[in-house]
Amino acid sequence: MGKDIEGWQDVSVNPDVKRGERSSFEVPPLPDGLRLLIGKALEKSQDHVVSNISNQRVCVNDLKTLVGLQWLNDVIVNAYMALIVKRNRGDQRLPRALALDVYFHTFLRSNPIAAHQWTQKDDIFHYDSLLVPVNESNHRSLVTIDMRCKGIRYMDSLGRRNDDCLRRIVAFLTREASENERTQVFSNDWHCWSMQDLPRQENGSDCGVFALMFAEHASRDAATCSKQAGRKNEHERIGPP
Amino acid sequence: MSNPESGENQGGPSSSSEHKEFIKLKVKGQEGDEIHFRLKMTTPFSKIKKNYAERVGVAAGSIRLIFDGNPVSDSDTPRNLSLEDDDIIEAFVEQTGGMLPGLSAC
Repeated sequence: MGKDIEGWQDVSVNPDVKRGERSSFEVPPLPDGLRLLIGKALEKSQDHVVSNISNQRVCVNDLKTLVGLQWLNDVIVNAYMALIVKRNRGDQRLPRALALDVYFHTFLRSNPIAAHQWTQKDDIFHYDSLLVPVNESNHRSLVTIDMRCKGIRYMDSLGRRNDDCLRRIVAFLTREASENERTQVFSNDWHCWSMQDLPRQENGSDCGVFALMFAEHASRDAATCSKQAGRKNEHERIGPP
Repeated sequence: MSNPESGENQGGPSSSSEHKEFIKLKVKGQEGDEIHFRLKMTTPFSKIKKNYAERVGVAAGSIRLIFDGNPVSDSDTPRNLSLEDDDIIEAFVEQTGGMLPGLSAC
């Protein structure tokens, strides 16, 4: 794909290159057969379950949020993240990725201390990359935490900075490091920033799609940079689950 | 409004947690609201969700319940999640996201 998405400079992980050197990568177009399958699925009843990835149940009404200019719902975000995690787990060349729940950041905002309950199953510092979906004022964005290069990036298809969000994540990591006795891992040699030069949404609907594409790139150690948005059919590209 | 499964009888505050029939739970919204439920260990969470949704005035289908970071499904029960008295279930109203308020055209 990539061809019909102007402005995306898709660059992907190549297992043979060192981190930091990146080669190009193209997301394949949706095969016609699959397109047909999605069309059929969309005709089924609203609560028909179309997939169940890592206990993340996706129904027809969730799938419909991928159509046209609908806003992606929470189920789609979680399901797509689950797919990323599953894929990366099955491929040793890819970074070990952990995606936090779509509501994690919202919870963290109002319950900074209790947020540890959400991650206590895992030592998050064991992973290479953490993906944190963000939703503020009906706008989706993404935070990626790279344990290897000690970087925290805020990625927003409106090109905004979000220092509050970054501070929140830093505070969270500080507490997690302390809980997991990993204070030597998370110290003041980390850096965080709001990424500039990302592809931008040109309508009022696609922030969710962009957030998932940012996650897709980050989970492949691929660069995501562009001067303009010009996105057409990525709703379709994200689907089907 | 009464809880669907809170039961008018006292339900027997059982001393043995293994055979406990009833449990007290809190459902906590992100706006600071907190609703206490007393329900059977075998009551599916679909009922709690429905009751909670009515109280906060949103559609049950848009409520997401999460316990310790794990989604609670409609068919889950306090028993199968091994919940204990005073456990807190977090409630979220479904978030979608497309734009910032104030931006034109959606």
